[in-house]
Amino acid sequence: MLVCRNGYADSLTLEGRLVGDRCVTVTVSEGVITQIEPNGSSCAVLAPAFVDPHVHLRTPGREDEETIASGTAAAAAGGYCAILAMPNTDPVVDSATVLHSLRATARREAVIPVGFMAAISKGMAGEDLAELGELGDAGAAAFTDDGRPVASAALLRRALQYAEVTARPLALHCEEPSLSRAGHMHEGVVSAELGIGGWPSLAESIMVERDLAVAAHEARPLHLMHLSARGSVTALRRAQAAGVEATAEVTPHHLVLTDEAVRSLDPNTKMNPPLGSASDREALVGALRDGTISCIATDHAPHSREEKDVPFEAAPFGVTGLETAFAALHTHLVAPGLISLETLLGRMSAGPARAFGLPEPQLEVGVRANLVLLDLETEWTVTEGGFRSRSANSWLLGQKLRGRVVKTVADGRVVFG
Amino acid sequence: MRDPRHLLSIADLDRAGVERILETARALDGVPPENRPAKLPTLAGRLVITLFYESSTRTSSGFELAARRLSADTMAIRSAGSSVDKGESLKDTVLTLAAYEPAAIVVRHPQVGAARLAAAYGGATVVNAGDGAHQHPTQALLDLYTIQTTFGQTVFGRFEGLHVAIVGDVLHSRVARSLVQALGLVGARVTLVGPPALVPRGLESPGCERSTEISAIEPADIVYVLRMQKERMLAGANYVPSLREYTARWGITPERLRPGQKVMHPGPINRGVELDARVADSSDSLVVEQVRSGLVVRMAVLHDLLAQGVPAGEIAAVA
Repeated sequence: MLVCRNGYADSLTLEGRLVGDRCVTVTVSEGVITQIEPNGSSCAVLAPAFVDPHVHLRTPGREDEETIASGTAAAAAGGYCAILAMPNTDPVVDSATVLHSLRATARREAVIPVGFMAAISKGMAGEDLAELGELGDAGAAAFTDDGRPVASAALLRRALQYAEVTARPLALHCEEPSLSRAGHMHEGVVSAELGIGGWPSLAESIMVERDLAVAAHEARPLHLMHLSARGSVTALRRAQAAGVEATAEVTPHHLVLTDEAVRSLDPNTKMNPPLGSASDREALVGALRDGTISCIATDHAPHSREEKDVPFEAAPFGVTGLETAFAALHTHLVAPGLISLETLLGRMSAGPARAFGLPEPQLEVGVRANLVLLDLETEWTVTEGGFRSRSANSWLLGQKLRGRVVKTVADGRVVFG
Repeated sequence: MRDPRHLLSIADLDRAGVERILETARALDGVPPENRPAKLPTLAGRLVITLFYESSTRTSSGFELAARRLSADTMAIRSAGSSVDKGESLKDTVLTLAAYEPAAIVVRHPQVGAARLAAAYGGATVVNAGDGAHQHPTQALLDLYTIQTTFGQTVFGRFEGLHVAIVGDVLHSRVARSLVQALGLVGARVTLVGPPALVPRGLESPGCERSTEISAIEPADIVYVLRMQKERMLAGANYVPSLREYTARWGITPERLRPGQKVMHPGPINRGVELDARVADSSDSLVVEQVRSGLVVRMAVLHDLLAQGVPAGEIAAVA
């Protein structure tokens, strides 16, 4: 399912501190971990590399904003050893032809392994199923209409039923369009004060409730993307307790920011789903901590400068995130003690790998090396010129972060540092 | 956040700033017409550009005349007939106009955040003349000035104890947002009244209540009527069942007013919708006074932003 440019495998040794404070020297020979030995002292943290289940590579169609080469290089710099790309491109990835061509390009260009999701519905129009069987055979990593909800409950039901054939996860963007219509930000005190069209959190949670009910009825698993609302977390927790096989992801920006950030009218605080209230954020952090939400996903959404250099209400939704996710969450969640480093590392690696049935990066003798070396002390400032991504629409521009990725090994190769 | 170079929001001002502008306007207004020179020299040789992406009568004419009365050169750009028609972005239009080195750019635009963008790229002082449903700060200032003029310096000169009911489509109203902030700054009490979906929750504060009953206007000294913004009503949005039902429940008629209650409206009025024609034309209507105030207050705002060294007293002395 994952593809990467062909090539060599590296041999190297890495020194680092494992979470739990044991310092080790790891030997990698021709891409495989061959030895893990205790060692005296290291300050950098060594961990299984990260997996991002939600990336927009903008290819085909908007290669000016991101390519497979630039997006996977950005991911490598962010500590990732695998990413999944969304199908809302131009054309949409809803046919084996488009998928084959993307995978062929990735075999030439991808710096780290990348999987491609395909659309649930033809043209992501929400009307008829795409040829999910053929797409699955062609290597689709999962199915999603991300950017749009599957508005029809009947279509969602058919897609869940057909997942028995494809054996691939279904990932859902939960948004009730009749409630989110004309919304540019979370509906609440801030939207009332700013006069910006509001998007009630109910638009997400009501769809989460519906999608979970359909999944429960069909007894099929499903994955909920980029949750943003307390009500969604409550519904998910209840469904999981009732035995529904549901996983979910949350983005760094929803874990760190609230709608208060929109007061700046900076278009880089405009995302879909919108930044929620402090109560929403608290629920998301709690769900991440207790494992209700097992995945951190960046929803890396590159936009060109001219698309974002417009009044807030005219700007498209979305921000980049691959190169800042770890540092942002280390700075804003781990350093203040909201979650442990171990939890953060798990939700960025094992959690997403398990949710999507991808190989789980492990620090063990005999497995392909997928490792990240992290310096937790260094402070750095996020700048427009500092990205490998082709786009710089980051919500963190100008901010100082603590902790950074020093080296990334993906599929046995040093891809960063 | 507060940047004294611009007036993007009432939030850019503190109470002292509001009072300073009102005093400057009072000084400009205090000269009897026969002693008034045609123009004050304050902004001689400086350029004030008005950049309007939405139709406007009061605000655009008010700013242009205000700038001219202060001897500024003025240039009016309208989106219709300009390069905006050819798809030029707001950013490029602002950069183009900035090449003329204007002292100020007055911007009106249908989208929230437009004035902020102009301030980021224009190099000039930016006055927000309305951005979407966000802010229209000079309207709020001229409304305060009108209230001050009407109720006299002695009784409500400092606004404490004054009660204003703002009635109608608060949700889509930049006027309401600026006015609620401005009235809060000077210590007046506000009641927001209208259909549930058009009076958003979240604006309430100790000095600002919310009601969906029209009877809530009864104790107010001033009933401030907002326009039903039909052009902002998406088809099928169903904020109210119909305009007819709106008028029946929330329209301001003579029967719903106490004797002596003053009525204000930012214009343009939809007569017979939010405001009964008999009220609009009555002696309790301050609508024409609001327009008159608009000129001196916009002069005061330009003076405050571009020539703050000169105290208000000297303006009168020059006059």
